[in-house]
Amino acid sequence: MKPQTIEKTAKAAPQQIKIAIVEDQPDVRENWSRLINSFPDFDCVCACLSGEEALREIPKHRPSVVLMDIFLPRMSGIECTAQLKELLPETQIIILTAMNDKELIFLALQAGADGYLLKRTKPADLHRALLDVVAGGSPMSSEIARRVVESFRRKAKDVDKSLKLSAREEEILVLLSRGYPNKAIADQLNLSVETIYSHLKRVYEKMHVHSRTEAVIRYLDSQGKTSMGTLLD
Amino acid sequence: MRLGLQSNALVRPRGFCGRRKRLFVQEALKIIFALLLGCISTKSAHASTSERGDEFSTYHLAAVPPDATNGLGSWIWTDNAYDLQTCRLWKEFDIPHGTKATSARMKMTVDDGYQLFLDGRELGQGAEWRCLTEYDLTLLLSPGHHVLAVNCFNNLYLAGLIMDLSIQLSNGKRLDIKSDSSWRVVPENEKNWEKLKHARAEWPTAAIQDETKRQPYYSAGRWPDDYMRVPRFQALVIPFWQTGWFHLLLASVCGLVLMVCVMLSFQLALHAKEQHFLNLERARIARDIHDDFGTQLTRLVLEGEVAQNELSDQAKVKLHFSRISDGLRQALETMDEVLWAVNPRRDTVGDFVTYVCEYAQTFLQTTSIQCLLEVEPDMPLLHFDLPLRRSLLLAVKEAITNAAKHSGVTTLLLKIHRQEDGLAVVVQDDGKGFDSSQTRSERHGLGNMVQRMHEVGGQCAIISRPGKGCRVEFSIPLMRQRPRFRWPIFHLRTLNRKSKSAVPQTPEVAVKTNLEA
Repeated sequence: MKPQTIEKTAKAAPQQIKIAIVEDQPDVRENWSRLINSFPDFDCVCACLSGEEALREIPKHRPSVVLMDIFLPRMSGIECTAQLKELLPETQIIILTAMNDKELIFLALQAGADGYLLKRTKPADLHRALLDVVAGGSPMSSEIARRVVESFRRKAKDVDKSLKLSAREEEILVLLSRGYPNKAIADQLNLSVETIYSHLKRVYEKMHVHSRTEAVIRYLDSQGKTSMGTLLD
Repeated sequence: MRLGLQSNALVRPRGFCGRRKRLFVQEALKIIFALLLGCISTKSAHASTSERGDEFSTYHLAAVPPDATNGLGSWIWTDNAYDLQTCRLWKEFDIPHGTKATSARMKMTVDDGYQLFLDGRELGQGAEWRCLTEYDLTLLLSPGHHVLAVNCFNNLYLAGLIMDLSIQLSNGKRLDIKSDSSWRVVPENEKNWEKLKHARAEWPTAAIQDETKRQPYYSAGRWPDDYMRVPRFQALVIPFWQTGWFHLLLASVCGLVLMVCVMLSFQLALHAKEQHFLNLERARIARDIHDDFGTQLTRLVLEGEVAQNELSDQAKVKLHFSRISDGLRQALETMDEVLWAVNPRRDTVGDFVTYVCEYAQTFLQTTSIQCLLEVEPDMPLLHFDLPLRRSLLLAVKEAITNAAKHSGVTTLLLKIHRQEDGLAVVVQDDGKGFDSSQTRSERHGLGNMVQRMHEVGGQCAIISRPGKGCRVEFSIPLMRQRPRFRWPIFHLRTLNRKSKSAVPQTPEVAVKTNLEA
């Protein structure tokens, strides 16, 4: 099937930010693109219905942000994220998930995603999250921060230095994991909130580099278990 | 909010009854083993100190007294004697009630050998007719019925038993039992004859032998050649644990306990199986809710939002649409909670920690309270049964709600860490506090928390003083997940199937292998 390029009713303003969507259910896909097109500063340029199609079509449009569903037929959203990130390192990928499953979200983040959103997020929150990501980083929840710190500590031995967390990054993550909001962390460390964001962005990148393939493998593993009937999702 | 968490009527608190049963089986088997060991050792001790052993060793020969042959009866035997013959002779008598034997001596010998029983107890043996043996039976002859049974053996030519039992009674009377024709001969087909209490009517009487034939064999015209005294027999006291009925009782008790053990083990096995099926079923329900219900709701939320967006200015309709969307969102949140409870994949400590932290943060987001977390890194992937995690979650929720309502603070600390064999959760604020020693625990739902924790074997401590904040500590024991025993043969089969199906398994096949494992 050909990718659906949504015709815009309004004229595309030059500063509009390009968004792509990967979602297999047609009505959901359409509603997402309508919703995004309803934001004046965003433009949905490409809506794909499978991971394979996304890898083919999205690079042509070079969007700033990709909204990626986790559960896709054949190639999963996590696998697609990993491959897409190789093709378009500048593009920010946000995982869409129906359920708040931290394990899966963490896997997606390791695979190269730059953030995640629940599918039931309010339009206003969606808008803000998109702006955040474009501005240079997505906020990190304390739970994810905790997992990031743990995963980096676990592999501290066998990774070369450039991929380790810097002291400052770890400091920020630990404070995040303890529930402090970004503002409070910025105050405590005498940094601006923007600096905090840029540190977090760097953390995401480091995480992607040394765990992308591993995340895909782990996802495939967990899929295997799912089919055994012991796991959900 | 609770709606979701109460939907686990499916789940049994298996942890506790299972543990108790397993303990019972272990302990009972230990005790049975000890009892059997004890029984065997007393049995063997009993055998080694049996009444004959030492007494034979203290037999001693004495000089033949001049009156050795006084009072002896006649030589008796069956009607005809032949070589290599066995003959069982029998005599019953009574000691009158109300009297006591003050002395009872029995002299006897048999040509050629014998085995002597009194009331079924073997007292001695002899193998030389020229030697007269004296037994002291004083302590054995209690008032009542007694039986002398002698298993005799003739080697060659002449045969006979000769004896005299002279009893002095406490009432001054004498009782004299001699070998004579009142003795009976027990037929060979009689089993356990030495233990019988009464002679049967058809048993023939003994025949008196001609003594003159024997005379030529007396050495120098005298008889007997030797005289042997056997020390006085002690009345046999059988301790209760050596009696037959006790052994029977013990055996039946052991049997009963063993049966109970087997039954309990069976139940445990059944339970494990049930639990396994239950988990499969929970997984299926979770999957169904998620796939069918959740996806549909999510779609509707989106649909509502888009519809709302695209309505131009019909404010009223817009409001309704936004209500629909919000309602659906809430439904999804509730569903998340249901899923958390139902999904067996969530039965781990790590997942519990994630869930509690997120709950606290989301809950306090709507208030002005900042929630700080202190979580021990790398929580183990220990199994955390649903009833436990559910109770702990509800209790922690209550503590957080209380703190948010009453403490008047701006930050709340949630600490989760491991204990020796359990998990500890602390909810701490530095707010107004109250006097925890004074406050009746019914207030503030404090009693509720304590009760909840007690129900699942955990503890809850509330420490607070006015102006010093409040600290609620929960602790709950965790069971180590034991590796499940798998029959090697099934295990191999599962492996085979796995390696064969390199392509992703269909759920049906996978479930089957799971069941077999």
